[in-house]
Order: sequence, then C-alpha cells, then structure tokens
Amino acid sequence: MKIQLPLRREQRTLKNGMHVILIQKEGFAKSLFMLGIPAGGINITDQIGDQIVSHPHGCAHYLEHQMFRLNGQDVTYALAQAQAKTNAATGYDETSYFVWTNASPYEPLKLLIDFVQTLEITPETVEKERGIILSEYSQYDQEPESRLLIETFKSMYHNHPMREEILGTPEDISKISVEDLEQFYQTWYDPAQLVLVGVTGHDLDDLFDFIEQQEENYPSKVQHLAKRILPSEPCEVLQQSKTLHMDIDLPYTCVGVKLDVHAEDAWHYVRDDYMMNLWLNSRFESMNPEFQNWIDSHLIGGLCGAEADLAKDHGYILIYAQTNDPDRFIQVVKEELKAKTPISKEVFESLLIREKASSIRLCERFETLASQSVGGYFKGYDPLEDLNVLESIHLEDVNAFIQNLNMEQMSTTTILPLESLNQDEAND
Amino acid sequence: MKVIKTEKFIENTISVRWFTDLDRKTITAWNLLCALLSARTEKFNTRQSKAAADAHAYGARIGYGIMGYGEKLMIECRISYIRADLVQDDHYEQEILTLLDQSLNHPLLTEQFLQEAKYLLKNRLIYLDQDPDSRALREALKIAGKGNHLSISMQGYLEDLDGIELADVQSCYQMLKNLPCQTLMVGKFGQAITDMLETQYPGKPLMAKWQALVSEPFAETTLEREISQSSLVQIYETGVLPQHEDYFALLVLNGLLGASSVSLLFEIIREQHSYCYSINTNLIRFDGALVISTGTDRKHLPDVKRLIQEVIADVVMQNYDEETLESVKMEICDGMAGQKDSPTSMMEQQFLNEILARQIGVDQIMENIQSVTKEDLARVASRLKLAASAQLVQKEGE
Repeated sequence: MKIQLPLRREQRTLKNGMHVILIQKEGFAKSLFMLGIPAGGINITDQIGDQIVSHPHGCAHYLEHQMFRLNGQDVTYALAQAQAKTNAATGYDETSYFVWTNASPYEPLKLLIDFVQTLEITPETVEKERGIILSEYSQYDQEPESRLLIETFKSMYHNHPMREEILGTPEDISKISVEDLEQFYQTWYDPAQLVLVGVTGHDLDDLFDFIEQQEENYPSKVQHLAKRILPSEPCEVLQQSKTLHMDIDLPYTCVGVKLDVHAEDAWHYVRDDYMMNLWLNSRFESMNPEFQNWIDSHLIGGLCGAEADLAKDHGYILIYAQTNDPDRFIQVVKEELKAKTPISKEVFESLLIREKASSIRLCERFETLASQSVGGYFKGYDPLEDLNVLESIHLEDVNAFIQNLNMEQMSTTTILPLESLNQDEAND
Repeated sequence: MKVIKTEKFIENTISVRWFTDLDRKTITAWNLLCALLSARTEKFNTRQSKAAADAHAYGARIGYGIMGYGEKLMIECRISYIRADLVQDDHYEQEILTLLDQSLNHPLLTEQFLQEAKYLLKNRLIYLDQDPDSRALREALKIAGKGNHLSISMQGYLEDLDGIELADVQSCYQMLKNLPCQTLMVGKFGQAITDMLETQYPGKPLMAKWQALVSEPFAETTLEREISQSSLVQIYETGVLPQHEDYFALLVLNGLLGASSVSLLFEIIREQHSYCYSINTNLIRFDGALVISTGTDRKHLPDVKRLIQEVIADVVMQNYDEETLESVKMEICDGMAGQKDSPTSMMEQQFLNEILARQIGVDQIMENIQSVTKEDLARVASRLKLAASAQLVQKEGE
C-alpha cells in the first residue's frame, strides 16, 4: 500500500540553530504552532560542557506555568486579541508550548516566539503560581488512574527520574525558587536547542520568511548544548508489589513490566514499540477470545488496557484494569506474559491495518501531528515514517520479537477502596 | 437526508439520528440498547469478530450513543471511516457498507448479551459516581431539575438495572425503528453507500419544542469524601433558549464568565487568588441553564462562591474591560470559523439549524456575536438565578 499523505512538509534550520518544521494542510483555516524544548520532568541533572547542574523535581513543569508572561502581562490576553489561544504541556522528557488560531497566523506566531524566548519572572509571580500548581497536584492526586501509573513507576525504577512525578511533590512545589527556574531556563531555552513546528492552511514560504525574521531577535547564546544525565538503572524492579487505598468503589490494579530493549536507532525503537503494542493489543483487547471470558467471569468490566513505551533510556509495559478481583487479574496477566501466545494471521492483519489507518488520520490532527513532530525531532525519528515502519513489520517479526523478550521483571500496584482498609483495621 | 459533499477531510462521517421523549423511566434501557447495538450484530456476533471487522475496515469507528436536547433524547448511530479513494482497496467500500448495514439493520438482542451490558453499565455508573467532578455535576443537575427532565441522568441509573428485562430493551428498539430519523453525511461518498442510506434512511428534519429551566427555590447539597480537593458545581437558570433574542448574548456571557481563555472567573479566582487550577462554565442550551464548575481546597469554598457572585455582579454593573469583551467575542468567532475544518462541527451546525427551524450561516452567527454589547450582557447576567449548588468536599483534616 503506497499512500500519498494529504499534506506538504518543509523544514529548515535557522541561523541561530532553531529547527523549523512546517506542514501545510491545504484548504484548512486552522494554524497551530508548537515550540518544543528537549527537557521535561526527568531533567534533574544536566550537563553543559564540563558543568553539571541540578534541578529540583517539578522544576520543568513549574517553569512552564511561569512562561506565559510577556511585557509585564499574561500573554493570553495579547493572543486573544489576535484571535488565538494558547496552552502548554510538560512531559517526562520534553516541554511544548503552542498557539492556535483560525485567523491570520502571524501575530500569534510572533507572540509564541517571543514569550517562550523571554523569561519574565519575579518572586511575586512565582509565589502566585504556587497555589495553582498545588491545586493541579491535588487534582491528579485524587485520580486513581493517575495514581496507579505514578505508583507503578515508583515501584519499577530505582534511580530513573520517571519514578518521580512531573509536577514534583507538594514539598518540592513549595520550595521551588526564582533561581531554580532561571537556571532551568538558561540550561534549556536557547534557540539552538528548540524546534518550532507549524501545521497550517497558509503558505509555507511566507511563514518561513516571517519566522526567520523574528528569530533574528534571538541569537543563540550557548557554546555547548545541554545534555540530560540519567543515573544508571538496574534491570530489576525496585518493588514487586504495592497496595494503597483511596476513596473509590471498585479496585484498580496495574502490572508494570520493566524491559531492557536495545535498538540500533530511533527508527528501530519505534518499530520495536509498534511490534510490542501490536502483540499487547492482540492479547488485552476484544480480539483475544479470552477477553470475552474475562468479561463473562467479571474479572474485568470497564477500564482495561495495555500499552508499552520503548525508548533509548527506558522500556516498559503497563497492563491495567478496574477489577473486583485484583489478585486474579494479576495472575491472568502473568500467565499471558509467560505464554507469549503468537498472534494469528487474521488478527495481525486487522491490527496492522488499524495502525496504518491511525497513521493516516494523524495528518488531520493538528495538535497530535505537531506534538509527534516535536517529539520525533528530539528522538531523531520522523513521524511521517510510521507507514513505512508498519510496512516493514511482518507477522513472524512480531512473534519472534515477543519470544525473545524478557518480560519477567514485574511490579504490581493495587488500589483498594477505603472500606477494605477499615475492615482490615476492624479485624485487627 | 443532508449531505455535505467535500473532499477536504480524510474521513467520511455519517450520522443517523432519532428523537424521542427524554423519560426517567426508560433512560437506563436506552443506554443498554445502545451498548447492545454497538457491541455485536447478527453477522459479527462476537466481540472478537466485531472488533476485527472494525479494525480491518481501516479502524472504522461505528457505534450508538445518546444525548439530551432539552426534553428530547437523541439516539445516534455514527460511523467515521477513511475515504475509500485514499485506501486503494477494492473490497474496502463493501466492508464499510456491510458494517453500516449490520449496525443499522441487524441487531443481536439476547438475554445473555443484555446481562453483559447490564454488568458493564453498572461498572460505568460506579466509575462515574467515583469521580468527584462528575458526581458533583450529577448531584447539581438532580436538585436543579427536581421534577423535570434536567434531573434525569443521561447515563442511566444503577437502581434500575436489575428490573430491566430483555422485553424492555426490545421495546425500545421497536420504538426506535418507528421513530422519525434524520441522516447527516459529510465527506466524499461512494454510490453504494449513498444508495443504501437514501433507500433505507432517507430521513427528514426532526422537530422539537424546548422549555427553559424554571427551578424550585435554590437547592444545595454537600457530600463528604476522602479526596484531595473539593469539587463545586453551580447551576444557574437563565431563561434564554436558542430561539430567544438574547441567545447570542448568552453565548458571549458564557465565554466572558468561564468558557474563554480570558474569562473573568479564571482571571479572578485562579490568577488573582490562586484558589484553583481550573474553573469553567458551560451552557446546557436547550434548558437555558449555565453551569459553573471548579475544584478547590475546602477552606477556599466560601471565598470562591463569594467571588463567583461578585463576578456576575460586575457583569451586571458592566464593571469590566471593553477589551476583554472584544477578545471573548473574537475567540467565539474564531471557534465558529474553525467549524469548517471539522466534519463533526459542520454536521452539528447543520443539525442545530434544522431542529431550531432556522437557516443561519456561520457568517451570520459571527455577525450576531460581534454585535453583542455590554448592555446586552448586563441584561442576560441579571437573569442568572442560582438554581442549585452541589459540592463534594474533602473530609476535615484532609
């Protein structure tokens, strides 16, 4: 299958080192621009030349909240006057800021370029944001799905900073200072380290000229690009099982599998990731005939899924469910992982076609396309290669990959309703 | 049947819709019926075969859902699939046709699958009640709409599940087959699919009447949970329905209060007082109700409620920047302009015009939005009457 994706893409590296990727979606009014920074929640120790710098947990996220000031005001208002909106996201290994509009893209784009490359913080602005971030923390803290993920990472990793929350703890948030944020900014927010992605219905040449002109105001100031330093991480999990209690009615459980995967380059990591996820989808979705038995026996009955992430510095599988019988769910998952049942030809074909379709749909999802372009650039992978990666995967590749994979390092996390804690206490 | 022909999008979207009366007694059965119709068909009689067929048809998404339109309940069968000319597979269009025909015409309603649907819906309802924001909203709607349709939970009721029998669900299906329907399509369609829908689901405009919420005296409820922060939901009666002359002013008021990036509640309660991470407003437009939702620490709840009242009073007194109002209007207009980039938005606008028996284009709507003045907003804001407030609060000491 050779499909001509309905888009046009061009990229350039500017004089100051900023890489720009522009994608044209002809006929669309919408424009979305995203500026990506190759640092996020796991940037705790960085190296610039010979210098080592340390940041508190939650620093990248706190800084993201502080970045929306320009010329002494919240840039949201200037963007609104330009008929545009803005948002940002801090992930484990990158931070992105974006603006979008259905009107002329030039003023919103200028504002994005300016506010991300201008740091305006004071002790007052930092203090004001603390309550908001603590409220955001509380919001995630009471979401069982979010707790399940965080607690599983804490059990899986000894040293890798993924074991810490992107927001940091309330204690971290309470202590972050202007100096911490300035240091993080100086380390990472140089144009030579940034990527700007635009997905737009407008003419690309005019936009490139405009961006080049705007970026002349922001020459690179660094001699050495920053590098993230990650501590060494054993192959074994830190803790095999954990139980906690929340104000919920149905228990949650998650089996985390720590993987040790090595690929020759980013393209092959993505290929391995696809193979892993194709197999997981064949086992932990409706296409597995056992899935129906799990519903019939009330082992699962709502939230149930599996996902994997394979990258240079980490690899994991998460298999999770809301279940009345967490112990049995964990047992079933362990048996599935041990059995490594090969995918059948029919199921493989359907799953592969669905993945290809998902890659085609990506072309119309402005934010996802921009976000994957940012992430792909930092990892050295082109997301528009997805169809080629999928074309290269054959049934025997997936089955061989799974047969050779060590999936024995597991951590399980179970969240039980508070009532069970109260019952246990009463029994004691 | 309304067809918007375009080659702009990768996906084609088809929606077949029916209207019936929203009724507390049957809402759970309708939820179960939609679950049954989505999960299996005569030909694809297992979850496995249905999932495989959807995946093989380039991840086509097809299923049933329900939505409230004031006193009406809309039942919808929707399919989104990649355009056939992008796929270059001779069998693909036939696959889509089969999926569509199976989903629309060949249900599999059995006792065994009903029991499964009940079990899954039960878990879903427990899940929703567990989420503090969702629970607060349900509680607020329940007391605001006491005695009328606004109090009806669109997701159904746990306490109804045991009493529903297969005959009840089959009866809903028979009713569905006899209800008038409308078919909406956006995309580039092959002849076989168009012919099938034209013959079997030609559709016609759906008609309905709307009535604005008139609440009983203000009602309030407070529940305690072991959670990290408290959820607050307030429901306001506005008396303004989509046909009302102040409807576009209500849309702008919604943006000004909490549904835009420069909203007053966000600015004052989050940015100036750091009381919350998010605060927003929504319209339940066919009931003329406005909803304010936020999450905050229990100790801030009295201040947050006071500030909400002060913000509304400021709008009545026209005590805010003209610049903010202009930005809100531009943001709403930008959203309208973006509708042409989304097949579902185009479809919804078409449907809205139809059920409101109006013919108004996006440009005219934008003009109406632009012409809203501070005086208009003061008039609409002065109509806001707090009907209900529900809060799920952290237990003391949390």
